[in-house]
Amino acid sequence: MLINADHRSWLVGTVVVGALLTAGYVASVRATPYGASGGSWPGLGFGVLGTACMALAGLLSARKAVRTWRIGSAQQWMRMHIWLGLLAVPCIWFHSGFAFGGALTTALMVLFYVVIASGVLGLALQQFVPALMTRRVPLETVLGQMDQVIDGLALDAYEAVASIVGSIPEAAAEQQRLEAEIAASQSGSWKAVARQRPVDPPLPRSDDIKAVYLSAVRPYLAGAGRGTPPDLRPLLLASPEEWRPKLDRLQGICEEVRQLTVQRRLHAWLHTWLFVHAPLSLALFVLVAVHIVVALRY
Amino acid sequence: MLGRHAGSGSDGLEGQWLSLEDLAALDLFKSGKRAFKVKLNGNFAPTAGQPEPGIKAAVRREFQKGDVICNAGEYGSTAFLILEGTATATLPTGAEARPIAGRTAGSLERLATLFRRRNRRARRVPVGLAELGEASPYATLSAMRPPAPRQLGPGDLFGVDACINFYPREATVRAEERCVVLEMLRSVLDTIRDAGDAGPGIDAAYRDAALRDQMALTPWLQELREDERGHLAAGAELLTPDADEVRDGVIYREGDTAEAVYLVRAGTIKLAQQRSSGELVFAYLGRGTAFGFEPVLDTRPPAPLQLVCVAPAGALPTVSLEGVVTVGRKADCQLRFPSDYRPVGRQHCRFALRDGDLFLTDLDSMNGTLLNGERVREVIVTAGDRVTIVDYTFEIVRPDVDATTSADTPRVRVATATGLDNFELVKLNGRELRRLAAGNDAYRGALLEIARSVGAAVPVSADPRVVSELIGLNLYNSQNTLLIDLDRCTRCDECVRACADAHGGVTRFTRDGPRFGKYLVTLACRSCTDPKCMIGCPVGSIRRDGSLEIRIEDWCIGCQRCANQCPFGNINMVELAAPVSTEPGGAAPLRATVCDLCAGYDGPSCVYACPHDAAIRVNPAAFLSAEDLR
Repeated sequence: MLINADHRSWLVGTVVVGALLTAGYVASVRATPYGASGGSWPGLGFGVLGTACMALAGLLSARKAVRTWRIGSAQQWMRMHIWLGLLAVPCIWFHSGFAFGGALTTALMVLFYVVIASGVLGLALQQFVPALMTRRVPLETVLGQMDQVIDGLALDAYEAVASIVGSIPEAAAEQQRLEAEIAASQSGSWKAVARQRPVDPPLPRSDDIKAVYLSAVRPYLAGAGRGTPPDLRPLLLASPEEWRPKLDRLQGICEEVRQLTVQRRLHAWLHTWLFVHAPLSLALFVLVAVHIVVALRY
Repeated sequence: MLGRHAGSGSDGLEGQWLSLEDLAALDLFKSGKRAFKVKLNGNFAPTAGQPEPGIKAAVRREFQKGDVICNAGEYGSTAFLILEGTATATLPTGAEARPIAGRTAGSLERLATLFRRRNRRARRVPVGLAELGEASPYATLSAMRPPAPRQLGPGDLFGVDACINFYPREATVRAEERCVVLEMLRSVLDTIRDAGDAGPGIDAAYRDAALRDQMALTPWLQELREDERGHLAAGAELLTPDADEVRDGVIYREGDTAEAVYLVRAGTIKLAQQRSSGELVFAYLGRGTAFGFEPVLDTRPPAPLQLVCVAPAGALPTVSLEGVVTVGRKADCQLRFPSDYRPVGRQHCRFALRDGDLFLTDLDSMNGTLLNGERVREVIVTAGDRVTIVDYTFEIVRPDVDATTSADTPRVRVATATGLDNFELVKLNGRELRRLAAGNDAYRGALLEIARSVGAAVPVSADPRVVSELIGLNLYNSQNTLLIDLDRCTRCDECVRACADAHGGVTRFTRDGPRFGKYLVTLACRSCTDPKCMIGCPVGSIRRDGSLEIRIEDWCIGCQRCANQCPFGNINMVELAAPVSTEPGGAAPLRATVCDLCAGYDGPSCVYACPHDAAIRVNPAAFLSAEDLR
């Protein structure tokens, strides 16, 4: 959960400053016959303040580029990013007098709202999705290694099945990888994993396992967990006791791959919004610069 | 002239390098065994084809009067031999002795080095001035009344304890005059102990010093006179997992005859009882604690609890609560109320012993049974509880037995003591302790106090699930673990990137591993109290140098022994980009890497770079609780 009690001082500070700005805005509206505008001194002040808030908030990405620099912890920068980003909203409202203005300022305002909305969406997602992922994906792995992990699980599954049904010609790729790993483990490489050779000849009455593996398990693993995971309980019940550990492992592999699919989906929820938020923030800064130049010049 | 090459760097210890010829001239390095020379030649001789020196595993260092050679509380992995001059070893008092849990710098220094790339070799923080991170339960021992400083002269070896056990140094050693010492890595010391002529002498001296220092640092032995302590020390033994009486780490079992009391010098000891519901862990004991006080306490089966009628006093007879005791008006009740006293049921309530616990069960009585004023259905009761049945109030009491003055009958162990790692214990003669207690009231009081605190068997954690998880994840001897709060972590991997940034592009941990509730126990060095990785490095390149973090020095030869010995897989072998070997077709040379707590930086980068407050480095046994398992 991103927002917690540690944010209390930032929350209070933002509310207090927001209230003061509101009071200032109301006072300036009352003092001028046509209300505050961006060109008036108070309006200009709100604009400068809003821009400063956005600029400071935007420095978070620069901070992330220098992770080992001791210039305040990333947590402190994140809090500043969130609360100054939100404080920029009333500043810009008061600067614009709640109007969209011309084409440039309208584009600016729309971009500003999209950036703020995507940030708030990201904040909401990061508030709740991590706990959801913790609960739903106990077998979580590092996302960057997920493909390798699923490949490894597919090989584990083949190894478990082949230790009952023997080599499976239809799964030639897995057989080839298994042989390579067995050879590597014999070479004494520090990266090698001990592997079991396929049984020869196949154990009697193991045809059902081979059939289920080829028709359900293998396609499921090859599809990286898309679709419904195969239910191996009937196979488990019909198999001899000594095969159970291997079939349990097979079921466990399918479950792990299912969880990894959920993880991939939740991870996308957690981070995809950034592909909107970050580039549009950059575009916003460009437009703000243009707006400043145009406003000062004309 | 002993030394030839001065300087420091990545080729070994700082100091003047000593060649094999230089070492051979020292008494400590005499040996008729071929294995001794082979080991020294193989590991520390100049590298073939390169100018000397090879690895500086034993160096000559010079100190002036008043210089500190080593500080109490610092982690170290070297031992010292005095070649010239004298020094004094002083055991610390009170707060002087504390481990340095991590590197911290003052704010001014922090400002000055804001944007500077830090040195890998961090500054040493003087003991006592260091800000402390996590308070370690394995803190350096200290004495309220330390013994007189010990004089050390030429030929004396010191620092062996820290070198062997990897615990913080126990004494501060200061040069009394110009003092020349030979500082050596554990690999050199091990070679001498294994194959050198001086090996047995070193081990005997180590044993004597261990017994003497441990007894001097044990508060409840301070009430004894020097001669009494000496007498006790003469009959004491140093016990390690290799001892014949230790089987699979078990020091003694529940029900064994109790003959000794143990002081923990190193390692973690589990005290547990077997119950019908499984193992009940009483305590995990670390360095500086003591256990096995049954010889000085009365551990004969306790007298059964009694039910005494206190209001109206003596109105009903006192009943011993053995087996099943039924209370009521019926004729066969063990505690019988007058048959015409109708407010009490015919069978009103029952006391019954089950699995060592005394249960009170109300037998659906009309007026109920009150325990300490509250109506109950079935509860466990114990001494001191008050039971009210209508107008009668009873108290549950246990007849008291004076502990140390009881008859000299054999005592039995009430729990099983098991060493969980590479422990080292001082075994004291229990009968002797009891004899000394009989004639010394102050000592007897101190002894009973410590014995009862252990005897009270207060569990480390209120929730056995926490204990079982800590044991399951081997977190009990971890001093500094990187945990990630998965409810906060957005899996952005900033921690991993920060680690890589701080270590030349190669991360020192993996954001993966087992879970403790919502916390991920990452695959990062845990700063174990018993670092198995540091045992047996042939060149002594993995070590602690003054503080908690484990470092792998540049002279690592990539033998993988440390990586294989780490039980948690937290040491990774990395293929070096630039081969140091010129042999064609040779495999890429390897180098071991481990989390060094970002030595040289102000705190671990992974924690500093986490934007979501999810990464924390803590002592897990102190930090994690039952709350986290929900």
